[in-house]
Amino acid sequence: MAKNLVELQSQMQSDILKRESGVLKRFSVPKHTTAEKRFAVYQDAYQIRLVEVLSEDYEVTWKYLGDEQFYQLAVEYIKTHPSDQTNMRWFGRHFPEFLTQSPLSSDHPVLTEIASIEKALDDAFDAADGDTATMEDLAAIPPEVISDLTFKLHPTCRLLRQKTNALDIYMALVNEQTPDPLESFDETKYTLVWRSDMMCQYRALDAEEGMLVDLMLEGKDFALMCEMAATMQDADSAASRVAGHITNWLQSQMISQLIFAK
Amino acid sequence: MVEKPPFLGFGLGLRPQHYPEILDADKELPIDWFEIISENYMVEGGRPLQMLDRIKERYPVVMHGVSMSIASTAPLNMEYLARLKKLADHANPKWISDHLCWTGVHGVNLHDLLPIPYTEEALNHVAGRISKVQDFLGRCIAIENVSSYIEFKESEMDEWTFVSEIAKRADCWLLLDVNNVFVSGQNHQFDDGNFIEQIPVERVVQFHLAGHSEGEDVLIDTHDQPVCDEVFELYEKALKRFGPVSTMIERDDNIPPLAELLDELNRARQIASGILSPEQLKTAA
Ligand SMILES: [Fe+2]
Repeated sequence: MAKNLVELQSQMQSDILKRESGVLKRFSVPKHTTAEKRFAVYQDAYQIRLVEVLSEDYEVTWKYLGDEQFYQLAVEYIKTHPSDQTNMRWFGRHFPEFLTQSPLSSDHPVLTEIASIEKALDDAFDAADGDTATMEDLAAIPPEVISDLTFKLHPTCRLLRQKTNALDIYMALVNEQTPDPLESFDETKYTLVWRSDMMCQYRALDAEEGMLVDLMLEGKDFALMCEMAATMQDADSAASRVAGHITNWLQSQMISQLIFAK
Repeated sequence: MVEKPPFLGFGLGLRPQHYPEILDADKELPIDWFEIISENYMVEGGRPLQMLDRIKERYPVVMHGVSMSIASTAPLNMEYLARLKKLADHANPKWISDHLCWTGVHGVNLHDLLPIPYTEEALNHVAGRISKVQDFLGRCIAIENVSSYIEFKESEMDEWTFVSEIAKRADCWLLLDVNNVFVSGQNHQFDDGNFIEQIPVERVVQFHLAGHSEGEDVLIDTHDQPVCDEVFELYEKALKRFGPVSTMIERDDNIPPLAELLDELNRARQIASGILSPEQLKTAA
């Protein structure tokens, strides 16, 4: 094994991560400069590059927080979550979670929720293509099995269950408007993120539709979905409301597969 | 030695900013081929792979990676290599390249192209790993010289000797980044023309032309500027030595409209037509 190289790389990496200088004595540089200055190019680049990735992936969170606070949080994140990915695309995947824990942000639940919307959109962007079920597939289903019908959500779909007006704040910031003041809710606010025709989409779901998507994710069938819808709003029209949602989901490419016993 | 792949002509690094301009162009663009950043397409699905499919229908493609970490002392990342191979099966590239550098150890990725000392120990280590990667991928790969800001006291040979020897021992191709030769030459005060003269002609399958920026007493390989005059001059020397070698402009940051890159590419073409015969400039396509 390349013993000398093993030791050199360990020390060089550690000195880049911690901005230390133990490895400098092993460098040779021209007389007009110093090893310290030259090594600083690598040390600076590491942090600059990762802050840049975070500020691209969490651009709206950054807008909400302002430069200084976002930078502080980014630097803290970089320290606690060194990249272990071959693609920087996934470096920031723990950032929403990190925001719930960092003392700098843990009392602002809206931050995590805004960041989660951004992460869901990024994830939907290059998630697996998967199949897309259509209205024709639905029409082909024998009426006698409709009540047992279950649904496989498209792999690009992400259902966010939030407790603040993060989505409104997110949309205001994206549209360069002043966001409303922060609000917190007891009930769950559902946001659905997905991709259709290669474009990332998002929309708020009302309580009933949010519940239905939750049921769909749990693999519950059409009959149960209707039963639950009947407890939320007018019972007589429950089945037609659920059918309406299913039509909409199919048309917006949210469903991969309609599953029923043959 | 595996036979060199064909001369592809003059290409560009494919960047998402240019997808519409490339795919919706109503007349043929003067671009012979594209280089993709492998990692950007090692994803599950969505637009990146859809765009790649459309590009590869119309242009030859080569794959260029930044995370192989071939000179690292960490074990080879087999999961990465498996995904790279899967992408290659999909993209059908003319060749695959990565850098003569390491990007991290102990499971960390510093996302940088870090240099190594030019020692016999490193030679053995790196050449052995390139051979393993080539066996795994079932194909010859091209290794690129990087820009560096420091050198190591323990080095036992010059960079050009090290690079040439690696290619020979691993039986791999070389991607000669002309800007990196220039940047390292300035940073370490060596003669960049001599570097070019010392690299074996039969190994070089691709040239990179790129821009750099100036730090304090140092040139930094930032790929955010146009290719400078000195690099074009060095490119001319490289063409004289290596003959027709697939050439491309590598721009990764501060990305201008496609037309500006085409102007730079055209300058490369013009330099080449002053040195190479029309026969030599014929591409395989
Ligand atoms: Fe390069």
